[in-house]
Amino acid sequence: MHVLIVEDDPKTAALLTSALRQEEFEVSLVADGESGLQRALGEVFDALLVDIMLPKRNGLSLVRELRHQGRTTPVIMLSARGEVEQRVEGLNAGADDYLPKPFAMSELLARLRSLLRRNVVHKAAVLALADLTYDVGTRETRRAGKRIELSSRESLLLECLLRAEGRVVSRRDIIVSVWEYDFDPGTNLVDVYVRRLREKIDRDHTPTLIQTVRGLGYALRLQP
Amino acid sequence: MTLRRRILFYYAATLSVSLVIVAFWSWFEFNEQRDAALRGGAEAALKHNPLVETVEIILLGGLPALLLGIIGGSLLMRRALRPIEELTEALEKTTASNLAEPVARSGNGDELDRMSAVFNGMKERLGTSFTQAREFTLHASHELKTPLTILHGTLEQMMGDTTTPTAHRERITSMLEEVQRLSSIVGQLAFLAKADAGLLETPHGTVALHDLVRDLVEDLTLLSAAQNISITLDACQSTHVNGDRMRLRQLLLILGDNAVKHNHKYGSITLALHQDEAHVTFRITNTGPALPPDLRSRVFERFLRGDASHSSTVEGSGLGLSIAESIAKSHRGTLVFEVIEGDRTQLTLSLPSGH
Repeated sequence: MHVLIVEDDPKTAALLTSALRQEEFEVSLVADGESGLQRALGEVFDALLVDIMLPKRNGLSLVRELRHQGRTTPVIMLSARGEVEQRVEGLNAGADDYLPKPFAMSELLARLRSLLRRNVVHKAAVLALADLTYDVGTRETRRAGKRIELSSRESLLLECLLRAEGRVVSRRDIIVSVWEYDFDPGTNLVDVYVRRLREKIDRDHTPTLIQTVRGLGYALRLQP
Repeated sequence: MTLRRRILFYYAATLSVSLVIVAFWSWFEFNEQRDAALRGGAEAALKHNPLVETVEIILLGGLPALLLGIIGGSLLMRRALRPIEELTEALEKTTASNLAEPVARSGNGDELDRMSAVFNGMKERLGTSFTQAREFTLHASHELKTPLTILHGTLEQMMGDTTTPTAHRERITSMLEEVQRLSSIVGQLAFLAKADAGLLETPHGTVALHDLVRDLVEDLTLLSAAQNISITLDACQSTHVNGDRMRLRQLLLILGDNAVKHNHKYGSITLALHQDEAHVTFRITNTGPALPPDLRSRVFERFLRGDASHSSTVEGSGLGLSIAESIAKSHRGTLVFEVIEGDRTQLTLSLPSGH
């Protein structure tokens, strides 16, 4: 997977590059909007990470021009400025996703993967891990064949953790996909819901599947 | 012309006129007396009583001057003082949000006109410093976001690095948690700075508030379960308001979370949603240690937290209610804090009802 990063802040660029390389992405880096656009038009990339504030040509204009030229390469916009209006602006310009700073690398990687997956395979109808199964359509959940009743938010939480395929999901990503809040709720809502879900799917079962990764979030996987 | 000079001229003129009248009348009386003496001798001259003559002179020369002094003076003063009244009214209406509008000036260059000019100058400087403070917070919060991203990312990589010793992991975890707390405060500050600058998007769309309240009850039931707090939804009339669905959700969650955090074990929370012709009212009441009286008027202040004995156990940045109030205001509503009987805390949100 080849990703083009368009970012002018050298430290952020270095961090993004090393985080993506660690996950075995091939990374190219440019520091201004104009050369970013030239490379995106001239070469083939699987995805673009574009900062909004860039010298020579800003990120929004880059994406707009890219789409204008008929390119459908998935784009994630990164920005330190405002949340909602910037998000709308970014998506209107043709970006596929928008990630406000400060973000966690795990969040970025999760969004990137889901974007790439969206491009390649269709969504599975039944998600499974060990003896846990979840039907995306009917939200039917079973552990060791026994049916488990989940509230709608609990199902969404489970789905969100299962879709991460064992990777850590941050609280913010959980908030976004389960509650669809675009704000920091300032409560321990996520922790409370995870505790409830753990009660329902992990109690009396081995191995336990829901894991707390302190400082980062939660993961649904077999071993730490 | 200055006010002082105007009053001086007026009284000088009044006194001069009065002097001329007195002089003329005296001259007339003296002449009359002299003519009488010439025609009829001392006998006739003595018929004129000096006391009566003096009174006559005073009445005819002094009284008009006195009346002119009183009536004209009071009219003059009223006119002169009107700018002060206007200025006082303008001062009363001055708030942080209309510092850019200058007070109307008479333009006649008197002391009060100068005062209006000075006041306008002060308003302008005050406005500039307000704007600077707002922009500073806004820029500072934006500038902090990139370093926070780098810090968080670097710590994440250290956690993911298999060569990081276990002893360090615990510390890195705690640093990660603090970076997240910092990020959340920075986000809240940016939100408030935007609200202060009037940049919160103007509400759009119709929101079914009763749906949001039901969602809130679901969240609160779980959030408060650990403390065995009972949640009661007293009334939930079907209500619609004009506004931003996400911001209203945020507002309700802040109020709900506040009611859980400042509660005690086996306490209770009561919610009610009503609508009348003009307003939609959402009320949330909770048991628990109420805020001490001296802090009640400051409840929407930033970073204010209850007294030290309670706050140590209460998590949060102290910005929640301030954000809630900003959202209420941006929806042309109000948020009122009260402590009612039984030491219960009550927050009442009132929004104009939408149709």
